[in-house]
Amino acid sequence: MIVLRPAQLSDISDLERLAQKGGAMVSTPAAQRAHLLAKIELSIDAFAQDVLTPGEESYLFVLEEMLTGQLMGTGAVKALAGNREPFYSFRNDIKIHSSAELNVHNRIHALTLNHDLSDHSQLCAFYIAPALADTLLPSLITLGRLLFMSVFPMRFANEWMAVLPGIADKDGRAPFWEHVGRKFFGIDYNQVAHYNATLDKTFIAEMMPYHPLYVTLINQEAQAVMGRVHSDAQLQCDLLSGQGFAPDKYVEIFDAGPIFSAPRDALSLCQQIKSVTLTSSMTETATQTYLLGMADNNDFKACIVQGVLQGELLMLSPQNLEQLNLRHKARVFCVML
Amino acid sequence: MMLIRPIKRQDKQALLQLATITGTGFTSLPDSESHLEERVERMIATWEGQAPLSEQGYLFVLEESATQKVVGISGIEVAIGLKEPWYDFHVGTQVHASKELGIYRQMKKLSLSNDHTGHSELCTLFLDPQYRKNKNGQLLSKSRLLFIAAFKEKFSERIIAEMRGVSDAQGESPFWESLGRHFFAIDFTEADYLTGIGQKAFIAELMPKHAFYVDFLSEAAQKVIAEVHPSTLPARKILESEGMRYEGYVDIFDAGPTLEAYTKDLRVVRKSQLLPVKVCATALLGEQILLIGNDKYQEFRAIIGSPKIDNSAIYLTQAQAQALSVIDGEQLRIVPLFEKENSL
Repeated sequence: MIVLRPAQLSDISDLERLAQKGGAMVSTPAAQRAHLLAKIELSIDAFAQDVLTPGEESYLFVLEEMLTGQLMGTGAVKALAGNREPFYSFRNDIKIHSSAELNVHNRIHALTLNHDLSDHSQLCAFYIAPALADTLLPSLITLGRLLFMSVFPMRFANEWMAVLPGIADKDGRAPFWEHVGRKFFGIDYNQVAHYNATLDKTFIAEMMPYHPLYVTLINQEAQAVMGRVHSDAQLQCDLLSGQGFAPDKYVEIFDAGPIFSAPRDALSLCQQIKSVTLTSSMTETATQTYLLGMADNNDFKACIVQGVLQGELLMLSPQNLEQLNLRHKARVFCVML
Repeated sequence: MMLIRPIKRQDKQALLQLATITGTGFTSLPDSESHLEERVERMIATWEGQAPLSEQGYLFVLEESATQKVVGISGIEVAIGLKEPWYDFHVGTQVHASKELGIYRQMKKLSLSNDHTGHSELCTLFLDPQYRKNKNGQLLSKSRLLFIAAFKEKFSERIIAEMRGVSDAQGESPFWESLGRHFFAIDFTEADYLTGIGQKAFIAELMPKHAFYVDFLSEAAQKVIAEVHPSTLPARKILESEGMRYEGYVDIFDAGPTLEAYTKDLRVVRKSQLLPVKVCATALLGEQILLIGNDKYQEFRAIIGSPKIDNSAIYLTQAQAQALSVIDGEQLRIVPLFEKENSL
């Protein structure tokens, strides 16, 4: 059985390995051991705290094959995208340039650097081993996190979002960066991506444009990739869209990748979530696939099971039930996939 | 002899003829009869003391005295931007630097400004190409400064002049193509024409309100910022020699430079002096070329010449005195035509 569970200190070596595989194009944890350790510690602290209102917490999940103990993916959630430092994005504003005398009514788009999304909760650090892309496991990572957020609403904001990687090629050339960011930084995209993953955000305030950037003045190649998602992240994009996340007027500041957002209550998962009691069933006929979330005090894990839902009873095979190894007091939630 | 005098209603036909040969980028003398007519009336009202400050302006013509043919025109607006906003781009610098990253970059940016509101403006300089000789251009341009020197209190303490920016033979401006066109889908020649007939403020409403970075313009556009059209280079040199200079403002359409100065700092204002005229039967020649004007407001006249001067008088021929509309003993305002001959 494969479960999504909070990361532990003992996961560090596996996480390092995943981070290296992740490369520059998927938003994986930065490839630095100290950095990863800090993230794990932050996550452990976050789970341990009794949180009444979202703040600096960051929750890091890993996908583990329970038999082998092998890690196959990661996913994290920040309680607030910008807590101690702002979360930056470009907002694509529309300005109406109008002149009655000249009978002209122009819509002019301009990108404004902003902190608007700082108070959103953010899904981040999604990574799955490429071989598993066509399984249900990516859903487990993403929907599992959404389930976690739904089960612990006090830990999160009401608005959620995720930044999806934008267009960049294998050599790390991102058209938006070439025609926009490079003008201000004079460095390569890979380099700024590294800074972004490892440094605090002061450099963004220092280096990024204070003034709105008129989209019409931006090179066509860069305009064309604004809000477009990298093909490697299409899966993630589909998962989020399927739940009701939608790209709004925000794009990421370096590669102009889309930023998906949604109010919690609008997400289909949050509407379909059911509190259930698990029971063992010997007759495994006409089963359905369920995403299962188990909350025990501050602990949370999720997995995907086959079962039969009858009222508030979810019937699983005895083996499954045994593998889950649930304490009696654990709360259990399910969503049909 | 060539002389400068205030414009008259009868000059309208001559002006229309001049307007047809001005070409693109010369916004202040558009080929529009009704507009010219209105402008001439406004100037006459100014001389007659009937125009409010926001409408005051002066137009002078260059006339060949023998034939009374009008071959050039030059103007001054007294206080720009008081009726409709006066726009230009301020060329500024923004430094983006991060100690942590070890990066320091200067970025040029343009921001829409009304900073010249209320300033006086030297405008509308045009000389028939056939008469671009014998220092006629100098007379046409600098006689305005002599007028300002004589009537300083009628002008703002600061003065500007917009210089025509770069456009090609087809009337395409690289700056317009890279910026203006994105905000307003018309050709530069049309924008230029609309500006000339007083529609500039309308167009400006459609232009970028936020400062923007020069780096986002095409290279061709970046190159022409604050550059003048080759045909305007002589005019720029004249004004620069008179104490005006580029201070970081450019036109919002073609990015031609705005030259500016404090009025009191203009060479002609600082150096011109008054001397009584002595009319002589034969010409007495002096050593340098002088710009000579009478100090009369409504009957303003100016010529250039090299008459003898001394501490007590300037010695003119009967023809010169007549051209200047002065009689023996009246005061004339004089200044060397060129800066390097600045010691009277």
